[in-house]
Parts: sequence; structure tokens; C-alpha cells
Amino acid sequence: MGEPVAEPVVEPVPTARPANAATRLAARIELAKLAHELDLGLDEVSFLADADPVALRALRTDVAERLLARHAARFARIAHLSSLVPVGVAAKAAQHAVGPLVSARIAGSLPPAEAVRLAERLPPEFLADVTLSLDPSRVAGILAALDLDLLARVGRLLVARGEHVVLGRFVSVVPTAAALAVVDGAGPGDLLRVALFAEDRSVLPALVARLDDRVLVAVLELAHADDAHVDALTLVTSLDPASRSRIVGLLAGLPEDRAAGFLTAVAAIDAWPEVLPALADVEDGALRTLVNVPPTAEPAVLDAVLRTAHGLDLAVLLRRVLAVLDPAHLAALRAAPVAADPDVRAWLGWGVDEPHGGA
Amino acid sequence: MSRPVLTAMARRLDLPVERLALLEAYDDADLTVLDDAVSLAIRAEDRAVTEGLEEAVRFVPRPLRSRARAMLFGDRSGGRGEGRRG
Repeated sequence: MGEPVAEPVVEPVPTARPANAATRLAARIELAKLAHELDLGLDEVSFLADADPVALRALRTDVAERLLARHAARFARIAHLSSLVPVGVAAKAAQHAVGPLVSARIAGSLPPAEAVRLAERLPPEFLADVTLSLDPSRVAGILAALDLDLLARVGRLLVARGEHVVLGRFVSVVPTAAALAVVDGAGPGDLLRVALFAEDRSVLPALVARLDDRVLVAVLELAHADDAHVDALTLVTSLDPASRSRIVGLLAGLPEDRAAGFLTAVAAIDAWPEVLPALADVEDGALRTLVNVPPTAEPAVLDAVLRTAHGLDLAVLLRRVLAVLDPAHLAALRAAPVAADPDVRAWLGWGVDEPHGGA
Repeated sequence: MSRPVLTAMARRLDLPVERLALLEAYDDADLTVLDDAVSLAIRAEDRAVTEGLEEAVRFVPRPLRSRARAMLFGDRSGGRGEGRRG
């Protein structure tokens, strides 16, 4: 039934296997998207859990593009036909004859102004159904011109339905105000999942900057309760330095076990380069709370901290950390292999005989 | 040499089999589930398109209906069906 389509470009597909928790999480996110694309349960694609997330993304994109390409010419023709009938009739046809999947496919071929007029005649519930099959990259012009209130209503319906994968596709395409209106009132779990599924995380700093502290604290608390620290941390690493500092500061105000869980995740995915600079803005009392947790009493962890601080030339921060470390953590630091490195010792201004300098 | 299940999936998706290299490491049983899902997704898409467009033609003004039908379905014989090569 499909139509001839252009021959795809053959590109090498990466097949490397993952290495750490961050990679496994990235693969899990991609699998959820692939399962959504093929209407499968997560368990049916779980055999791919150890696959490279970049390769999984390529597979998912291929599947989606080939499905779309099968009838692309026909969608263009029906889009042309829709201009031959009054917009009210086209809206009725979309809802009662064409259906949400095909309406979604056709939307990408409609002139944005016409698509907007059509969308405004359709109930949000139907538009939510349409959104499940929309390709955001093909309807960006429509989304930019749609009424913000309508966008928010459709988005909230998708939140209520738990369509986090779909929302994640749109979070970087809709105007920031609409995205904020959608997340206003959404639960922390919804926020975390939508952000994780975001196709383009570069938009997240702008969103996080406008979220209230209590919302971010709720997300941190949820990550702790669900043992989803790696999930939360993955998002933190996607943020700008100011947002990272803000979240680390909020973490310092929570009970100690929250910081312990978070820093265990930092060590697991080696996110020190992103997290360590964020400690620079934390005041000494909070810094003491954050750094004297059980996960940072491991020499291997402190070794990674010291190496990262040296690599990023964070001497001022490191001196502050050394000043607030408790004896057990200082002992662990002495056992860190890099503490014996002459370059590191010189960088910190430690003498040859001083195990941890004058800090 | 690609395995039959991957060759079939590649044909179904109209992709070079090299694009499915990621899947070479996995069992046929798992890949068959994936291939079945691809097949179902294609059939669901085809069915939705055919039925949706047939119904949509009813909303076109009667004098234009046969022209609309020809525009949308005149290429039936040239279509690239799922089973064409697979």
C-alpha cells in the first residue's frame, strides 16, 4: 500500500556496548521510545537493554521515518484537498473520518496557518490523540502559531494520560510559556520523566530556571524515594552551571541521605566534571553536609574527585572541601592514589611530607 | 551474511540491512518479536491511511469527489506494499 520513497543514505551504525549507569539509563530511555513507536511493551524490547543508546536512537529514527515515508506523497495530496473544503468541514472530516493517526501525518504537509485554523476547530481530546503520532520537527511552524492556552490544554491531557515519551518529543519544540503551563501542576514524577524523554535537552535550562524551588525539591525527593538518583543526575548534567549550582544548593538543604544517594550516582556515572564546579557556590556549612557522606569516604571516589578538581583547576574549591572534610574522609583522601602525585601536590601547595597539606 | 530475520525486517522497512547491524548480536526469537511489531505497525499505518482517506473523500463536494479519489488512490498499482520484497 505504501508509495515509493527515496533510497536512504547508508551510514555506519554504532554497535559499541555501554559502560556505566548513565549509558544504561540512556539505553532505557531509547527503548521506551522505540517501544512507543512500535506499540510494544517495554518487556518486549528489554533484550536490547545493553545496546548502545546512539545505535538504538538510529534504529528508532529509521523505523519512524520509514513508516512516515510510505505514504508521504498521499499525505501531501490530501493536504491539498483539504484546502478545497471549508475549514469546518475539514475539521469534521479529520475527527470523524480521517482519524488521529492520519491527521497527524497530514498535519506536516499543511500550510501552518491552515493547520492552525483547523486545530482551533478540533476538541483538545482529539488533538491529544493526534499528538501521539505527530512528528514535532514537521509541525514546528504550526506549534509556534497555535494558541498557548490550547497547547497547554492538550499538553495537560497528555500528562494526565502518562504520555511522557510524547511530551518529551515536544518539550523543545513548543514555546517555553506553553511548556511551563503544561508542567504547572504536574507531579514531580511527570516532570522527571518528561525531562528524561526530552528529545533535545538544551531547552531544559530555560525551563528549570523558571521552576519554583519547591518543585525542584519535590523532584529530588521523588528521585530519592524511587532510587532514581541516576535519572535526576542525568538531568542535572544536562543543565547550565547556574542551574546545577542551584540544585546542588537545594540538595544541601535536604536530609543527608538525599545527598548520599545523589553523590553515589555521581560516582557511578563519573559526573564529577559537571557536579564539582557546582559546589563552588555552596556555603561552607552546606558544603560540609554534602561532602561528608558515606559514598565520599571511599578512596576511589575521592581519587576521582581530586583528579577532576586538578583537571579543571578547581584549587580554591578543593581547599574549601579539604577544610570541611571530617577525619574519616581525610583518611580516605590520604589513601587516594592521586594524593601521591607530585603534580597534584604541587598544584595544591602541599609539602612532600604533608599527607593532606595545610588544609 | 545477514540472518533471514534481519533481511526480512530490512526489506519491510525498505532499509539497507546494514542499518540493522545493531541487531546482529541478538537471538532470532527476540528479533522475530521486533520484526512482527514492525510488520504490525506497517499494516496498521497502511490500514489507517486507506480507511481514513476513503472516508475523507466523502467530505469532498460531490462534483470534485471522483477527482479527489483519483488523486488519492490513482497510484494504487504503483504502491510499495509491505510484502513486495519481504
